Amino acid sequence: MTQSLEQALGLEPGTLAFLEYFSEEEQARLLSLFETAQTGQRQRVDEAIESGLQIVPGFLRKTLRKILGSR
Amino acid sequence: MQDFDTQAELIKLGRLLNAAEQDIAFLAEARAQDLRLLRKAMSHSLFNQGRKVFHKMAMGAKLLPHKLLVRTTAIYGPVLCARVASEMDPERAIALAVSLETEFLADVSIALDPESTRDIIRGIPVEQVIAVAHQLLARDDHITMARFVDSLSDEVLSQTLDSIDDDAALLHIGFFVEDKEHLNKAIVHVSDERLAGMVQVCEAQGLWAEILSLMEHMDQPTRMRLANVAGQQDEKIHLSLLKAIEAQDMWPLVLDMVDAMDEQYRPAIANLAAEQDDALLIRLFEVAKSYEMWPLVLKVLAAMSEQHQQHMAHLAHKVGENPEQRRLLAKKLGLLDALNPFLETYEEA
Repeated sequence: MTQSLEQALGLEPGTLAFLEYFSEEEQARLLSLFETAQTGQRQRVDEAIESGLQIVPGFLRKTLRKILGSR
Repeated sequence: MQDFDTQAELIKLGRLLNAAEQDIAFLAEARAQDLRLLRKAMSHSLFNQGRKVFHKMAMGAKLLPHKLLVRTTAIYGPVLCARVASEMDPERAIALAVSLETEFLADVSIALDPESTRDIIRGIPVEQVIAVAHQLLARDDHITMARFVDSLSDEVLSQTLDSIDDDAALLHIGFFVEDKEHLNKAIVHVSDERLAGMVQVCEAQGLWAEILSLMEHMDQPTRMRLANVAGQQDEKIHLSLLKAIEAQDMWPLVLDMVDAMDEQYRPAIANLAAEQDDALLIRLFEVAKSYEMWPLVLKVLAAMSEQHQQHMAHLAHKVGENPEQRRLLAKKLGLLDALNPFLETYEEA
């Protein structure tokens, strides 16, 4: 389970070795909290980009989205 | 004993993950340095998310004239601006920051990654740093302020701290600062009057944990200065400190403080301690054993009146320590004469 969080964070195995002292359930909860934070942040950024694109003429919006690769 | 660095790390992690205190309470057993590693890895990952998009936007921003770029920030909002700023050329980002409203810049600073934007933060004029700091202060956002302490130069940090009149806010910020050594460089210049204000606010607002955890990281001269200022306070403040020990199990930190103060200030606090509940005093002996703090405990005992020493000796006996060892230690510390009533009663008991 520690490995899952390390993988999600792009860390070398064993970097967060201290998490092995916690139960699998606690480690899963931590991973879930991190994933929720990731999703929340992605949504906030996407919303900000989308709101910015609203001032651009419609025909350019699709192209800009493609360039930015935001969605 | 509570580990206040761990406590601060947990609060910062909770904020990063937008998690409730109880959701991560199980991590309270972890060491502060492990939690810091976890938080930094998570923060790094979150800030890197979508980086390619922000980089493209920063490249696009290069093509915009300054005035148009300033107007664009209002459309994109603080979260996106903070992310794009970390991908911008620092000089351009500084010029942009200077043109932004303080309130907006405070919003941006909350979403900013101080590590990747250190050059930008260091390039912002001190007046603007102070204005943003006061905006964050008005929002009680001590965590964001603490994050920026690590990125500011010593001089800007000193000027910013000087501009903050609120002693309690200073303690809250200090509690969350990661690079306490850097903060210490600024606190060195804080006057004794200001230190006294910080001690007094601990009594008024129950902030002893904040000041004692900060003291742990201070250099010796500043620790001594703060300890002496605390020693000079009245009984009301000393009593508040002793009550905090009871509530938060802080004897080790308080022993360090008493050890750092001049001998002349120790009797007032030592005798007041001896008048508290036996449970608190027995805890003192347990701490002496568990944390190998007998030398500091003997210094506190040596500062007590004869009558209090005798009372303490009876309590010490309950902990079951070897009196001969204490006598040898007292001799080594040059406290044999001062501790005579304690050691004699201790041996008799």
